[in-house]
Amino acid sequence: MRRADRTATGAEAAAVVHLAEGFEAFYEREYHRVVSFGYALTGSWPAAEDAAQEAFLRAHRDWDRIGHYDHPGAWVRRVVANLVASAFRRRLAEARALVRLAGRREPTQAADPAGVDFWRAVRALPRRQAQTIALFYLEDWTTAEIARVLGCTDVTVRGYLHKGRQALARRLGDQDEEAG
Amino acid sequence: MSIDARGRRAAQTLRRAAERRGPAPDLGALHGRARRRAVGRTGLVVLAVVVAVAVAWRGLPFGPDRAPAGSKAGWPGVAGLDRRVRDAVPTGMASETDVAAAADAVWVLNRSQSSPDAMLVRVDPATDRVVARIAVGPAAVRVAAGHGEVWVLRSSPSSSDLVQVDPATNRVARTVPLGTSTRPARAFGEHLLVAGGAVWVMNQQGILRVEPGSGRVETVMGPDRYGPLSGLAAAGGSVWAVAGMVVQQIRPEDGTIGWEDAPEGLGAMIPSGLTAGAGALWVVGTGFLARFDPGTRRVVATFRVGHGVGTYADLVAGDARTVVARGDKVLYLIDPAANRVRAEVALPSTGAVAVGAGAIWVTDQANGRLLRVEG
Repeated sequence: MRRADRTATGAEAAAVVHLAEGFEAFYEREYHRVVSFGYALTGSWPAAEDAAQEAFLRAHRDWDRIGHYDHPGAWVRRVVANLVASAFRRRLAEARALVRLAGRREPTQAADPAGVDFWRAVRALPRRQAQTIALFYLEDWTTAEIARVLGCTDVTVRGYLHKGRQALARRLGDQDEEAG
Repeated sequence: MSIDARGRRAAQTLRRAAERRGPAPDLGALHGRARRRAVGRTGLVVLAVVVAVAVAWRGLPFGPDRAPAGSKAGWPGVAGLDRRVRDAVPTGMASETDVAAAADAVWVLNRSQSSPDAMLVRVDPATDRVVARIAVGPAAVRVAAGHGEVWVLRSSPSSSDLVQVDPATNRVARTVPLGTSTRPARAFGEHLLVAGGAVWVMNQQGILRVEPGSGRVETVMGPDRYGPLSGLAAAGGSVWAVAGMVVQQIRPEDGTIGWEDAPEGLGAMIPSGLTAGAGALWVVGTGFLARFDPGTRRVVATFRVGHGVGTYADLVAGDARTVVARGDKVLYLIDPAANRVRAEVALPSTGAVAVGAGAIWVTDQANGRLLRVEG
């Protein structure tokens, strides 16, 4: 079964977990994944962390409401996607990180050239396609779950996914992707 | 490798990289940082509002810089300058400037090497706004105002003339030729005075008296009689001039010299400027200011202005109550009762100085501004 054809069963199961857990557990479990999502869209760790932290703070302040959503993680990712769309905010976050890290060295990440190239190609896609691709690979989500984050229909997400994968195949020189 | 395989591998690498950046930050610390940012944002908003209101206020006709002339508390001051500098009026860039102050107008003469025509800029001292710009032709070097008249002296190596500007229309009314001269301009340049029913010119031709009505020009004194001509002033019903070390008293009605002498007390001064103020004449030169009593025709006080070359005053100006001297980037406020410098005002650049309309006016040549200084 192709992942894009999966049903929303996974999200419903996750909702049961969220209802039962407090914000702290949700935050601990989701934080790094949300930061990864932010990085996939920005290519900047400071910007990704800044957006993720802001999104979790908003969720925390309003957890009484958001904690009852079927999928609070989708809500947080949607906030991150909106926050990182602002180039100004990205530059601001990077400047803040520079100030915060003044005199300290930013931990060097082990570079994976193939991964770097892949996410760079993702960021070169149109914004909605990039968000779709990032959620698809990072979260292993169905198109229905992605549609919930992006606030659009399942069919639209399938379109983004199709076009995005085709474009990635062209950019990365991949010939054997069925892309569809 | 397929796109799906590459995507899954890249995602796995990215998640691991995110985890290696450390644990999720403490929520309390995040809230604390958010609060600090909110305070910072609020501060920025407040600052922006304050700046916007200040800018709007300055631009409004009832704003604080629109206070009546002489309303010391009402003028806003200029950021970065001495607190006595109460306002800065943009009058235009110039390589040389002169300024004259009348009761209802301050006139700034701007001469620029990039423009053939000098510009006479009229500033309303009640609002500190430029109300007129009048082209007065090339080689304009001095402006003087008095008796409701405004005159500009134009001087070139070969000829000179006077331009009369009508303050009612802000237009050039006429030109009075002063003749030609092959002499080079003397040290300290030219001077212009409107007093005693005549216009008085000091230039390379000497001292000239010009009848405003007829335009008749009379030579009071040739240029080489005593040395450099350094200033003209009116006090005690007479016109006074300083040539070399000699002070001359001139009858305003006919331009004849009534008295002249090299008064004791000027000492080793080399005069460079003369003005009338606070009931006396003031001669400035080489770091000293001498107070000359026009009644007794004696120097009654001499005191130092400036602390060394570059700070020595070489311009002086005054009115009924105020006397000031100006060095390159400093203005000396004189206490005429005690005959001493009572305060120094740092200036941003060199320029000219005048006193009138309830303020001291200095041109800030490098920045194209007229500064209103509180006396």
